[in-house]
Amino acid sequence: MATRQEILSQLADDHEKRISKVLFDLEDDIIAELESATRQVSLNTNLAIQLRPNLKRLIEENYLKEGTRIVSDYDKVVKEYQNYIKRTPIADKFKTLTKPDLAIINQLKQLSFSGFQDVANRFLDEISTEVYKSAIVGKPFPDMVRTIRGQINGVYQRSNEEAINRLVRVVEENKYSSDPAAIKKTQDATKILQTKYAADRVGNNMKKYASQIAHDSLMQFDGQFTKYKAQEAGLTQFKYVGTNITTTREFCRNQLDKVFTEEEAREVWSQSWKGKSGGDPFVDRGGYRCRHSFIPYDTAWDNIDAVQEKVEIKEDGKKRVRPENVSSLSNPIKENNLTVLPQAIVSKKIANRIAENKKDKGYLRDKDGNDLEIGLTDQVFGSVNLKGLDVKTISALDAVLDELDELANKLNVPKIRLITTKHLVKGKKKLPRASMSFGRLYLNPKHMNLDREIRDVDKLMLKRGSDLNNNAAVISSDRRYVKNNLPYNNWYYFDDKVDQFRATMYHEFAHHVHQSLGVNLKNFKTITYKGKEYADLRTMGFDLEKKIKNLRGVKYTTGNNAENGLLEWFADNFALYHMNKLKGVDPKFVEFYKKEIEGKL
Amino acid sequence: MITEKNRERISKLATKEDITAEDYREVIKLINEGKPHTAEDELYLLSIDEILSMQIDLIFVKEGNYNFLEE
Repeated sequence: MATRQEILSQLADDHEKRISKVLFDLEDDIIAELESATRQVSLNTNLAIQLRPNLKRLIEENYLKEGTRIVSDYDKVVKEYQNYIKRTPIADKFKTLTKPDLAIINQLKQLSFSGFQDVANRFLDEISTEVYKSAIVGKPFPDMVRTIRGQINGVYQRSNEEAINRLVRVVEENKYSSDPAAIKKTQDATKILQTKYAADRVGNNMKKYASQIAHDSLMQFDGQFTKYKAQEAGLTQFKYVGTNITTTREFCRNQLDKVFTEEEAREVWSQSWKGKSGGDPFVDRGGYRCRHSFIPYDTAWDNIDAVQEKVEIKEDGKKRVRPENVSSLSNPIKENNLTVLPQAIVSKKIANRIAENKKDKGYLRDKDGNDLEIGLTDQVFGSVNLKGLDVKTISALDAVLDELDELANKLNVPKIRLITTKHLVKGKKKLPRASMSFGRLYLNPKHMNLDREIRDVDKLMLKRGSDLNNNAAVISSDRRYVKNNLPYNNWYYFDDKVDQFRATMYHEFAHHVHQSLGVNLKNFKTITYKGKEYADLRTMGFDLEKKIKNLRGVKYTTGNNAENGLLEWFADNFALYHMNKLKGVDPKFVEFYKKEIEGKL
Repeated sequence: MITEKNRERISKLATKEDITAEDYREVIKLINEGKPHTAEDELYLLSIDEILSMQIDLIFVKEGNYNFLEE
């Protein structure tokens, strides 16, 4: 299915092609008229004046007649707008055309046609003046013909030389093609034509302006109609869409796919750039012959496939494959392969994922099947709050969540069901780097953003991590040694920023594993606080946690687990084990993990 | 700076399986006693805060309220 922009571009190309053809016919007709008029008498000023109405008629019969047909084609723009807007979730009454809409469409068409008329009048004047001037100075007929041909079709004028006509045909047949071989043919032929005709090339010609008018009129009609209908529907955001080609202006390249309010667009469009034709973003867009346009848009539509089918275009004109970072446990993505995704798209994707995860059967439900809370929070299961995380980190989060969902499936634990950058516990102010509580993941942007500032203490810890990697340090059962020689947290074992982020995410997921595996979901008590029911965690029997806490003879892998107990030891080892940083993994962990977790799957 | 002895007490209290509101209050008191905190203290406290975040839910069901957070 063609996108709205593709159809618009095809229409613009078709209109230019039709204008091109009609101007060749016009050129032939005018020259035939002049030859016929001067067959019996030589050209004089009276004849020149008498010829003017005939020239006018020829322009009307050829150029303006085609202009009329082109403007009636603008109904296709209206139809395509409706094809797009009917896929959006706006009220149905704004998806149809009203009587006032039809009146506006006609007015806009008349406005567009007046552009064609202006070109016609201007060239009637120029051609008539050329005929009159030639009569006064007695310019040889062939010279006058050549000038008039130049005024109409410029470098592409008809010629008596078949070689030149062949080159013109090559240009005309291939100029709208996106095939590289055709583009090369057009460029070569144009170069030869321009070289050959350099001496008598007429700078401004009808073809140049008429083609531009054919293109820009269509795009301006689209811009005006779209803006009018969006305003009517109360839509306040617009997406700048279209393709990038080699001649795309830098300005357009920078704005493509961005979503603006009208005010924001007008602010951005107030700057200057090469080729700018006016300051109205909706009418002028990138400038003369710009192939881009605005569509009414709402970032909430990012994940509506029916809308995206009409919006997304790839560079070569085919459907754009929505960018994403592919990551898995066996092939985890690294920073240099991480694509920073559009924030609206990646945030929405995470939100959809978490909303879906909330339904996991591995979570506590009350007797009516509703989610049962386990602690006081003002955040709802299934929700996502990423405020403070930059888009690069959100992109990494999305990729790592793919891995954690894979791990959840593998270990048969529920998937993460809430992500927030606001503290999970209402009223508590101290903020950890990250935390996990029964599928509720907290992330601290200050410590989790990939490109955050690295402090001196972090550099010291990274050095210790590198010492372990270089065999200059070892994991140990001596707490004091570990505290003084190993990094305090497991992320310091990694150089890659996405790995550092992943290490913390896996550490938190490990807490989720010991909070979920083997927990009694059916036979537990509840307490009531301020009229709301909460699960009494102490009655749920955390068997895995008990087993971890009873382990003896372990080696410590970070300062954190040397100081803060065996659940931290489990979490650090779990992360290092699944990230294949085996130098940092206690063999006791591997033994325990294989027996108590992997062995029981 | 949090002394070595207090770090040990904080860690022990924060990670207690049967943590109480009183333990929580004591942890906060010891953390505050160590102010101003060094960069190493901050690193340590990030981990303690992570542990406390998990423990708070346990204290809540034991106490039946969140008053210990507000004190």
